[in-house]
Amino acid sequence: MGRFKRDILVFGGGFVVLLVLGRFLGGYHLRVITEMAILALFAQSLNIILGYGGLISFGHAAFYGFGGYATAILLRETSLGLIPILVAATVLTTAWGLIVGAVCLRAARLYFAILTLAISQLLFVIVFQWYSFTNGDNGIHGLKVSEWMSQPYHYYGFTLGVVAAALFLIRLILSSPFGYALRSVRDNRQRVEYLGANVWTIRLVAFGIAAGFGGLAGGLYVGFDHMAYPMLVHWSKSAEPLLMIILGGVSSFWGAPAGAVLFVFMELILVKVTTHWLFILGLTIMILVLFFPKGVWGFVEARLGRRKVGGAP
Amino acid sequence: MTPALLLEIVIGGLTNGMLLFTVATGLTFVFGVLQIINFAHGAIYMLSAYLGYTVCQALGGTAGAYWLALATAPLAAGVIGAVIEMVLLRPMYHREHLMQLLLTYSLALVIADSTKFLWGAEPKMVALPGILAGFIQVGRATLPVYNLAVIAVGAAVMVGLWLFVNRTKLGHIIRAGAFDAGMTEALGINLRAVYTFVFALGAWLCGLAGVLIAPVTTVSQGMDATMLLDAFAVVVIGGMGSIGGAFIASIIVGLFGAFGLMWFPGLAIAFTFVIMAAILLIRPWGLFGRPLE
Amino acid sequence: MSGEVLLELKGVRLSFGQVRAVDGVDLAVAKGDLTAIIGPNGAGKTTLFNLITGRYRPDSGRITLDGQDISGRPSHQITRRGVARSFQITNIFPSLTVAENVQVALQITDRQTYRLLADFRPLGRERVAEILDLVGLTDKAGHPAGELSHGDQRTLEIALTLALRPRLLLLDEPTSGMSSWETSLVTDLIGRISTEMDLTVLFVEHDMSVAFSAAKKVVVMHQGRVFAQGEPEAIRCNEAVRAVYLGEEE
Repeated sequence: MGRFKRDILVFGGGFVVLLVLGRFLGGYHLRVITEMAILALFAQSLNIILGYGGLISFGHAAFYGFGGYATAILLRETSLGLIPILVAATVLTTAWGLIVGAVCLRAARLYFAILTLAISQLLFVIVFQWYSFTNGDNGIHGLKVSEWMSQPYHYYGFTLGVVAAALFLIRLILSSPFGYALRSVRDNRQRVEYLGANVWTIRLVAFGIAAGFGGLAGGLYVGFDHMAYPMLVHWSKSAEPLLMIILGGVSSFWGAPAGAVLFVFMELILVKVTTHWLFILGLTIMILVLFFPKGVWGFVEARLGRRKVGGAP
Repeated sequence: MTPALLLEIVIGGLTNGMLLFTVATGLTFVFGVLQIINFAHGAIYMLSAYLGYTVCQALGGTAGAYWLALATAPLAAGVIGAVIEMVLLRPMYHREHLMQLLLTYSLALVIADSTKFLWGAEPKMVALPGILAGFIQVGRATLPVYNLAVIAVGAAVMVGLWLFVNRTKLGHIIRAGAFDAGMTEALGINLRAVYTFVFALGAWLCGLAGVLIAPVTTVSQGMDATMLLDAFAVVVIGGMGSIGGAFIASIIVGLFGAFGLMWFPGLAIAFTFVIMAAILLIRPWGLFGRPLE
Repeated sequence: MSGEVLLELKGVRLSFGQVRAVDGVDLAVAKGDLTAIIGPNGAGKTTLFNLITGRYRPDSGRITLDGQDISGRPSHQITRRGVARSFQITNIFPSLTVAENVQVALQITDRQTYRLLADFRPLGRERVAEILDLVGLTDKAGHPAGELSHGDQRTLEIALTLALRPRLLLLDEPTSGMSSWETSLVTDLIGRISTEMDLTVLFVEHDMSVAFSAAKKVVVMHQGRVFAQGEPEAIRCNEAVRAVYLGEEE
């Protein structure tokens, strides 16, 4: 299977390179790269339904945060290790995603976007108010992972491994018959219906997968940060993977992870300058949407492409 | 449940419903004509509330201050709306839906965070002028004058809009433009100006609601999201582009919320959501919506 | 060409508000038929297709496929029973290549859609090549479908329908917008499909020369009813049919 070989090389190779590189980096840099990896998965999970599925979702934080809180609560209440907890969180978030999808996908296209936002806000309010379970506004702090996991380099390697495996899996799914069927639905849902497939079911499955991977990213984040807080499910959190995707270019596989890397750089630089992160986030998206619709990546590619052909427009 | 209590709850629900309607109708109207979902609607509402607060503060919280705020803040919101439409939305009309949604969504973030920057994070209070602070006895029920005033305003907005859309020349133009933009333009009508006006009107309505609600709640961060979600619920339930639908849906949501608050406080948002989901399962286009796809 | 009836419509009626789009249609299509449906604008031809494929449910009357009632069933179910259709406005997948378009159609038909981890590329490759060869798009296999000419896109859509291995093929104005060269290619293709594959073909045509040259049987619709039907020659000479078309441009 040529496809497997090439992808294993890319993902496996990348993992090994970063792992080795990590040996030479200090705690700060390890944390930065860990965050990049987690957000790359977060963004890619949204890209499944946004770029490949053609579904506009403004509520992806609902899955990221759900997975995060599931992880936090399991860490707090049980003595299970992080790995089984992450597995559980992913499964739970997938189930939650299927429920959300079943409701939202019934709606007409533009209403879908609104509904996803509404669900995300619903979750936020629940998290905020269900004090006894989620600790409300204060969030859940002081989460303990194992000794081994607590060390930056170990968590770095662990996260990279999990993310590489997850991205590989997503890659497989997107280049499978299902992945192409999903893209077909995006291109022309009527045609797919008249080919005998159930469009709703295809979208629902994609939604569940996207939710699961989003939840996994959220769980990894909580393991990384040792805390969960309501902003993880806030509607503005959903803006982050959106920005990453448009930074990188919608519906290309490497666009989302590339956008995540750019995003983290942006965050690092800007957080030092101002506390008005949401303002900057919003402004950046606006500028990108108005002037760089193909993403920074796409813009660069287009420019390079033109040079190759000789500069004529 | 005595009749008096029932009346009080109903009036309370209608009050919220009318406030909701004022915001939601702008949202649905903008969508009906411009085909754009304005995620920044809630943020404009919040901005106007803050502006109203500032006007009240500037005049030292005197009785007349509130009325001035009511006159000026929505107007400012309308102007801001016009500017937004001309500068940001116009280049986007031919772009794909995702990009349009992203634009208004990010605009919402920008405006919302700006209010935090300009006014700080602590909640602000606006005083209710004397006339509105009183109560009226209807039988054994005690009804706040404020509630009745808001209901009156909401009804006036409904009637006003209906008259405007159906009985004025500009209203006809707007309907024609919504129906067939190309043809309307070909007839020599400046559709651009019309679009700006419609958006500004939507913003003005938001602004009105923002100042109206300011005295009975705190002007604070997060009020944009709460209102936006409720407004979306109304628009989804009533059907995008239908002002009548928004009116009925606002009443439904308002009343459900009022009764729900009595029996299940804290789950108010879940209520609107449940109604929204239930209606969508039966009629994916809302009660009065037209299929778009 | 057994004469056995594949598709039958009895007394089918459908109204949109006051408009009687289809007003009592009785039609029988035998297995192996190659039938053109012609008629002036608004005669109800596309509505008929929509009724057969389940987009609308008839107000009254019955539609049966091989004896089984399919009136008003969901479209994807009717498709699964072997009814494939193409549309007046071309419906293909622009971001996929020509070969991928046909491949997706094939995989959906073969119920491969939910194979999440299998590799897309090898599944159905050979059959895709066969189909592309039949329709004459082999040398465009690697082109993004969105970049094809209008005529090639319509031909691609026909290829998609063939991937379904249908029993009944409904083509809605297959030559619409095509140059005369492309039109003759498609006319020829329709003829070949009918003879080489075990297919019954029903197509709506505006271009009467195509209808008369390609079809073995012609059905004329007018005001939602079947006005006349028979062999092309007979219909061509039919005075009443001419009258119906008076004023209609080709």
